[in-house]
Amino acid sequence: MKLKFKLKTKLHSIYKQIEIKEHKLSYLFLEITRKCNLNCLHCGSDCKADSKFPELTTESWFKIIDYFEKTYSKSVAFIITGGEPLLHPDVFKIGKYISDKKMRWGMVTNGIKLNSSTLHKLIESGIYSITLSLDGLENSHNWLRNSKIAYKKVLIALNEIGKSNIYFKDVVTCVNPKNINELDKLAELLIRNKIENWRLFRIFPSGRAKNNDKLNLSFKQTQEMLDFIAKNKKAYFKKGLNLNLSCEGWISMEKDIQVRDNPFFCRAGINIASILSDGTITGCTNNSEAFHVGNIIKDNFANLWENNFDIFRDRDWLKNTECINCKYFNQCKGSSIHLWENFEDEKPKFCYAVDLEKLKS
Amino acid sequence: MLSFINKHLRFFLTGSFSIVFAACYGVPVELENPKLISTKNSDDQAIAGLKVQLFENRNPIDEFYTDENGLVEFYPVQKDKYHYSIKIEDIDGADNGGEFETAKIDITDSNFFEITLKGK
Ligand SMILES: C[S@@+](CC[C@H](N)C(=O)[O-])C[C@H]1O[C@@H](n2cnc3c(N)ncnc32)[C@H](O)[C@@H]1O
Ligand code: SF4
Ligand code: SF4
Repeated sequence: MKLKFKLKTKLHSIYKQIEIKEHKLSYLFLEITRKCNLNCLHCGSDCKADSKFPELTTESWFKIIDYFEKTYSKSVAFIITGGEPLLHPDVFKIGKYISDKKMRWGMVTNGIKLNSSTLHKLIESGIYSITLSLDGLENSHNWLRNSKIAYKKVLIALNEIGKSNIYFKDVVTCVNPKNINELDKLAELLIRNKIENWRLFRIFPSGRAKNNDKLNLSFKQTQEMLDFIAKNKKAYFKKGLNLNLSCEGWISMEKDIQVRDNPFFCRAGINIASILSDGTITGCTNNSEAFHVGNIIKDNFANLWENNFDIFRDRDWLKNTECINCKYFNQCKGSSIHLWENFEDEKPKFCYAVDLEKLKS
Repeated sequence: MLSFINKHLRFFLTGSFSIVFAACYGVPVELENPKLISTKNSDDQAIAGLKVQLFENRNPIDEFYTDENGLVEFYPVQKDKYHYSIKIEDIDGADNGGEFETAKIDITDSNFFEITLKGK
C-alpha cells in the first residue's frame, strides 16, 4: 500500500474513534409511515398500501421533535421517510413544525405524488434536502417499482426538483442486473434535469429482496459499478453532478477515494438514529431487528443513546464472526450495520472488499 | 478539543471542514457547523432579546433573537468562497438591562462566538 494511503487510513481510524467517543447525534430518521403507493420488488422495509403496521400519531411526532430539539443541538437534521412519506396526511405539517424551530429536515420519496403543487408545499414547509429514487430507464424502473406508471411520474418529480432551489437535490439508484448498463443514460438524464447529487448502491437482501436473486448484482457487476463511478466521477462533477457510491460497504482507502467523497464510515448509532413508525428506536431505518434498542413510547432516548448503542459503537459481537480473522478487520470493523441480520451471522450479507478480491484471484 | 482535532483530521482526509453525509435510505445533510453565539455585557451578564441578523455576502438571509441566557444557536449552510457575518442589535432600548451598541462580526469556521457588547 502506498504511504499516502497508509497514512490516510491511519488518520481515518483516529477520526472514527473520536467520532465514536463523541457520538454526537446529527441525523435522525423519522419513519412517519409504513404505507406505500408502490409495492417494489426490492423493498427492504416490506412496505405496501394496506400496511397494518402500527403508526405514531402526528401529535406524537411533534412531541418527539420537541424532545430532540430540547435534548440535543439544533444541528440535528430530521430525515422524513417511510413507506412513502408523501402519503402521510400531515407530512407538510411535520416538516413545517421542524423548520419553524430553525432546524433542518429532508425527505426521501418515490416521486409518485410529487408534482409542482406538492413540491411547492414542501418548499413552503421549509424542506432543506430531498432524495428521489430513480432505478433505471422506463422498463427497468417500472420493473423494480412494480408499476406501469412509476417512470412517467418520477420524470415529472425529477423535473420539478431540478427546477427548485432546494439546497440538496439528490437521486439514488439501486443498481441491479437490469439497469447496470443504463447508468450513463441515467447520468445524462440527471444532468439535463439539474440534479446535483447521485448515489448508487446494490440492493441488499432484506424484506422483499431477501429471496429474489434477480435483484442482486454479481460481484463482477458490482466491480463494474465501482469502475463506472471511478471512471466518470470527475467528468460528471464538471457537468454539475456529484456521483458517489452510497455509504454502504468498506473498501480500501486507495479505492474508496475514487468512488466516494468521504471514506467509508458506518455512522449508524454513532451520529444516526431512527424512530420507526411504531416508535422503535434503532440506528438506521434499514437495520435488522437485532439492532432495535428500545421504543420512544416507553424509553428515555438520551439514556439509550448513552448506554445501549454499544452494539453499533464497540461492535464486540464481531469477535464471534469470520470478520475477526480478516486482514482488514481493524479498518473495516464489520462494514455496514445494515448488512448484518443477527449477531450469530458468520459474515455480512456481502463484502465489497473480500468478495471483490476473490473475483480477481 | 476532540472536535477541534477531528475537524482538522477531516480536512486532511477530505479537503473540507464540513462533511456532507447521506445514509443509504436517507438524504444528504451537512453534519457539522452549528454556530453558537453567546452575548454578554461588560459585567459578564447575559443579554436577552438582542436581534441577530445573518448576512451572506452582505445580504441579510436570516434573523434570530438571543434567549434569556444571551444565547443564539443557528445553522447556516456556508457556501464555499461566500462571506458570512452577523449584526447584533439592541432593539428594545433599556428593557434588557441597558442600551447596547451594535456589533458586527465575521462568521468563520469556528462554532462558538462570545461577544461582549459595550453600553451606549
Ligand atoms: C424504503 S424507501 C422509502 C422512501 C420511498 N418510498 C422511496 O422508495 O424512495 C428509501 C430508499 O430505500 C431503497 N431501498 C428499499 N429497499 C431496498 C433494498 N432492499 N436494498 C437497497 N435499497 C433499498 C429505496 O429504493 C429508496 O431509495
Ligand atoms: S421502496 Fe419505497 S416506494 Fe418501494 S415499496 Fe418500499 S417504501 Fe414503497
Ligand atoms: S447502517 Fe448502512 S445505511 Fe446506515 S450508516 Fe451504516 S452503512 Fe450507511
